[in-house]
Amino acid sequence: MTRDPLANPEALIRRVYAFAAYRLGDGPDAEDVTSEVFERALRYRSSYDRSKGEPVGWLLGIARRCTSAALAARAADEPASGIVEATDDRRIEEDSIRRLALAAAVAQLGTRDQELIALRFGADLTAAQIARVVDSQTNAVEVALHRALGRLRSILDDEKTEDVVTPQIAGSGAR
Amino acid sequence: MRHIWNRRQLDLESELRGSRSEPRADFVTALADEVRSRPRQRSRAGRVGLAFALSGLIVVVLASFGGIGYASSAASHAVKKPTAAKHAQIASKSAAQAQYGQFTPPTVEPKAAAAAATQTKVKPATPKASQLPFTGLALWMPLAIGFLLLATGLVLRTRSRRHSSGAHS
Repeated sequence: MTRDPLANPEALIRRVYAFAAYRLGDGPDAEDVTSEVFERALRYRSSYDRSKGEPVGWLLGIARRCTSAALAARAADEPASGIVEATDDRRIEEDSIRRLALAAAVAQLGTRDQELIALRFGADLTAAQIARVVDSQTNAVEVALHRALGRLRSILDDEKTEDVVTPQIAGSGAR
Repeated sequence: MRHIWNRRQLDLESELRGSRSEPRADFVTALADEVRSRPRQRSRAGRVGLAFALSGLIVVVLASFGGIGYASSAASHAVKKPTAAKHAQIASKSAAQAQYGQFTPPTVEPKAAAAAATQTKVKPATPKASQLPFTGLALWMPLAIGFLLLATGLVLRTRSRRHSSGAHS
């Protein structure tokens, strides 16, 4: 028996957007991807199979493809761009700096790690739900997440992180 | 940079959750309205399956109550009536009839007539319990056709659901 997967769109939009923003940065790109995800979801709404998972997992499966396409297009347009661009007009406060440092560190991770972190902490999925989305085993996802966090921690501890973020902060402060 | 992280106990997971972005409220409202404004539709194969199933149901109901027999007898009556009327009209307007009078067919001999009567005598149809009235059709036949059509409809619907789940990861 199928059920309408888009019956409660607000909560789903927030989670899809959070995932997209984790991968692409907060702003119009993430909004575009979110809109595209829901456009596709509306088109294939009748194909949703409840037995294969929750609606959020189904939507994030679509979001992964849309995000990859957006990242590929971005790489083709601006090879040197990164998440650190999100600095724009943000205030130079401690929380902002921490957030930027974190975003920069996440951006240094591999694609797979970034995706897992975005699904876990952006879309707020459990390891079991992520396993369904990425078509893997729950244990494998847990291990991969643990390793990704370890790598992230080591990047943050490393002096290299300081080198990446400091010029951005200095640039923002000069404005 | 290091002092920023050292100042507080680094709880990476909380930091990652805390840096989650929230979409603009008007963006969420606009997109949610767009989603709600587009009603859910059945897939094409699902619609075909449903149409087959309903058609099968109608055929089974009609066949069970002798609808097909009624239809065929009504059609044969409709063919016979105009033919008879046409013959009568032609006969009344025939020049030969006007000249030679009414044609009377030759009479059959009594013995031959009696033999013909015994040959054409047909026993009245007495339907059995396993036969349908009027048509004399075996009861299992329309039932089997109906179940077959219903099964076809269900299989089509299931297959369409599996096939079109390509968007599902």
